[in-house]
Amino acid sequence: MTEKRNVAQISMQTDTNTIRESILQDEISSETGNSTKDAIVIFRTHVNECFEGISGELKQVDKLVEEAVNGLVANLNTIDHLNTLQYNMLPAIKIKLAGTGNPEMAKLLDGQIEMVGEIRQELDMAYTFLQVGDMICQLLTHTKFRVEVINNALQCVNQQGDNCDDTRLQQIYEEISRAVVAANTLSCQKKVPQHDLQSGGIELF
Amino acid sequence: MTHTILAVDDSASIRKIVSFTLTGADYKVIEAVDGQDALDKLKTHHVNLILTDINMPRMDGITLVKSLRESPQYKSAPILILTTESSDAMKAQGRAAGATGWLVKPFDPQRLLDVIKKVLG
Repeated sequence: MTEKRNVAQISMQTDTNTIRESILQDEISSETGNSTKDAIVIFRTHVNECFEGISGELKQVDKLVEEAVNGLVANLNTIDHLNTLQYNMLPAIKIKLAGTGNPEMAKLLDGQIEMVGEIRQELDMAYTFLQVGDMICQLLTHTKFRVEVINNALQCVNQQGDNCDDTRLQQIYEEISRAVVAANTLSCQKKVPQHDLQSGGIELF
Repeated sequence: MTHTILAVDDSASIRKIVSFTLTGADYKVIEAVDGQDALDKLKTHHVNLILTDINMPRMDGITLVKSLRESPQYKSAPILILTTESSDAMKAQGRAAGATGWLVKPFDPQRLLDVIKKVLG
């Protein structure tokens, strides 16, 4: 049900985006009839809005992931605390039952003690998986950085490309290429190497 | 005797997971958001072990390790690095700075406790 609703929302969003693009093209076409400079201004504004939108959405994803992870950590902490209380309680119950001569109950309690141990192991795995939040935040930081670099590069082209010859245009494209390579290099220096959520290695020096 | 551990990480969720794992095993935990914050906290607290991330704002983990190794109080204290970085080059930097060990995120809580127990003797 939720999945269907999400698909419907994405579909609606795509339709909205198509309509927006169409409006933007009409806007530029009508303006270019009057002045090329006006069209450039409109283009710059829309490119800026687009990048600000991407940046804002990335921040939103970052915030949502962080809130979800923090909430889940709190929930797991409570479950873990209750599980520990149960783990401490069960042996005491077993001792009290020992005098009653009820072997079936003692067997059931043994099973429950084992189950509490298994819950502890599952919780440890859940804590490991929850660290995905940290990795997502780092990936989003890298993506935000790349988006900002591309936005700056596009703005440079707009500012410099108004009245320039082919040689200058060539230089501009080379500058953009260098900026993109620099963005990639800087991003790769602090890459997030994990591609899955298996716990990492340990090395003592 | 209860050991005190300083957990340094700019990610709030990682600090919470580390803190919960360690307090559950009867360790006292102090949290810091980056290297600079860690140095500030160490002015007023004594800790038995430092667990630090690498990539953090203001002061990164490698610089923190170097600073601590220059201080007489933490010259030989156990310092574990807990990071997503796993390249040999980065590990070599950590070792050269004076770190005691290197743990790659995501960490398994039980394995983290085992390592800390081993390092604290």
